Amino acid sequence: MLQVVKKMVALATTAIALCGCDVFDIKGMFIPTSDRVDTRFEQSIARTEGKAVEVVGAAEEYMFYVCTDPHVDHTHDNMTTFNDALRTDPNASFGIVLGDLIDRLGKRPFYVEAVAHNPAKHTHNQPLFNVLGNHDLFFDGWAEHLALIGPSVYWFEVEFAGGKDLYIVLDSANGTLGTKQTKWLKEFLANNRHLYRHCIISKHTNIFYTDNSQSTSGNMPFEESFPLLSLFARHKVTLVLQGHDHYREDLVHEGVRYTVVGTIKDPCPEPEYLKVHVGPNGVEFEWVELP
Amino acid sequence: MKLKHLSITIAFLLLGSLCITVAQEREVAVGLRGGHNVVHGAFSALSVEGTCGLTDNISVRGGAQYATYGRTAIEVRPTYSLPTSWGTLHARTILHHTAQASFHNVAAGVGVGFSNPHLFCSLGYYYRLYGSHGEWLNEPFNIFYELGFHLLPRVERWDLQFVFTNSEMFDLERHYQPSWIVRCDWEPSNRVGLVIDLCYKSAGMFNMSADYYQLYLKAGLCYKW
Repeated sequence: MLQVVKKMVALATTAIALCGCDVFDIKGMFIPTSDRVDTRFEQSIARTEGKAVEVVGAAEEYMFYVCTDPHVDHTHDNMTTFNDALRTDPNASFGIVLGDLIDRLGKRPFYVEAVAHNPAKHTHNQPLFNVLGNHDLFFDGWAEHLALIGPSVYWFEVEFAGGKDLYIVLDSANGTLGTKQTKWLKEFLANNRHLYRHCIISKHTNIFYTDNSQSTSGNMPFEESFPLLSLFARHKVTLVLQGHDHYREDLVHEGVRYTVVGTIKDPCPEPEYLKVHVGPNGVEFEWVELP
Repeated sequence: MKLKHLSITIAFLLLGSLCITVAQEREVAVGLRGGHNVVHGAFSALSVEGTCGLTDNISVRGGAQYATYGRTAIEVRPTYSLPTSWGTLHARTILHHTAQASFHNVAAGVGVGFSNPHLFCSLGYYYRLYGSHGEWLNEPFNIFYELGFHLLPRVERWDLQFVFTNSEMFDLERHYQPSWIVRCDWEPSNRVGLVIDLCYKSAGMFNMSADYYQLYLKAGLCYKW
């Protein structure tokens, strides 16, 4: 009898672990439950045809908004605050959300609603660029992300009189760039970096592990950090924007500035977003903490 | 480049010192890995390592590895073992260094372990310092761990193990980056052993979304005396 009970408990535990709930995709921690990063890369490049998805016009000195990890669930108050601030700011050229857009299965349309342009209260309609996060992949979330949000690997330009800046959005939602994206990134930087004043890269997971802010949650393998740091330094990348950690971090390594933006999810202790001022001499930050 | 050569030299000097130490059981092994990694593509790696029992309770395992994508690793693992009636307790230390292009990675850790005919495990803390061109970063919150099971506990000269670890020899990864290893060990004689490892490493475990990262097969030949 005891053996039967033990087997039933083991079976039930396994079933719960495999099914998870609609927040944690426990099965996905062990095996891919969505399309793999190489497949997502191919689909993204096919969608964009390898061209810039947008050319944003700006002055030589301009500013853009960044936030990350809104984890939209039953509410999206902070995300709405961010969206309203961006789209009523005449000095803002565009916005970037660094991934983990949603926290729960089925909330993607809710996120789209949170970041929509509302002509009744928004004086501007700047583009908003999204990065794919690990939570966005849970429960086979890629197909819906591609349909409602867009590709996970792409690039865009900011053009001003006398030059342009390069913005590359990478897919690190699995904690790795994968084979094809890594190869593409190396070739893309080698062939194009010299055409631009600044190069700013946006990705979700963090290359570094200098604090324990994420505790057991994964970031990128240490082994993959080496070649990426080397690649970014070699091509004089100006700034690498990252999320995922829910904790602000800002450091410079070999001339490249690596910044992790804290979360903007609600509720959380210190929600924040970032205004990045870009000019001939580089970037300057203006942190905005939400109440 | 000079540092890389220095690392290799130190490793072989270390191995040499192990081999000339007149003490307890000694073992020297040569390993060849071949596999695929999402960043480096197809790769192979050659390692030489040795284990030497200095006393009945103290042993040192150390060695060096060179991988075709330009990484050199050296590692030393002194261990103190204490037999008990229900297994052997271990106090472990790990000293690790890797060099790849201009990057250097130095790590030092201490931990405890336990082994018996059915399983072996270890858990410890390590501190990592890494960087290049004089710019250093640290990782102060790492742990290393290993959990292994003997699936066929020493049937004649065969052993089959299943291992879950982030601290495979020469690969000291962050705690959220474990490898899954199936290891087959065959000892055709008392002096010679053959080890085959099949190792799978996924990225994005632990509250993430897993994907393939690395797969390799390792063949090792060891000699004991």
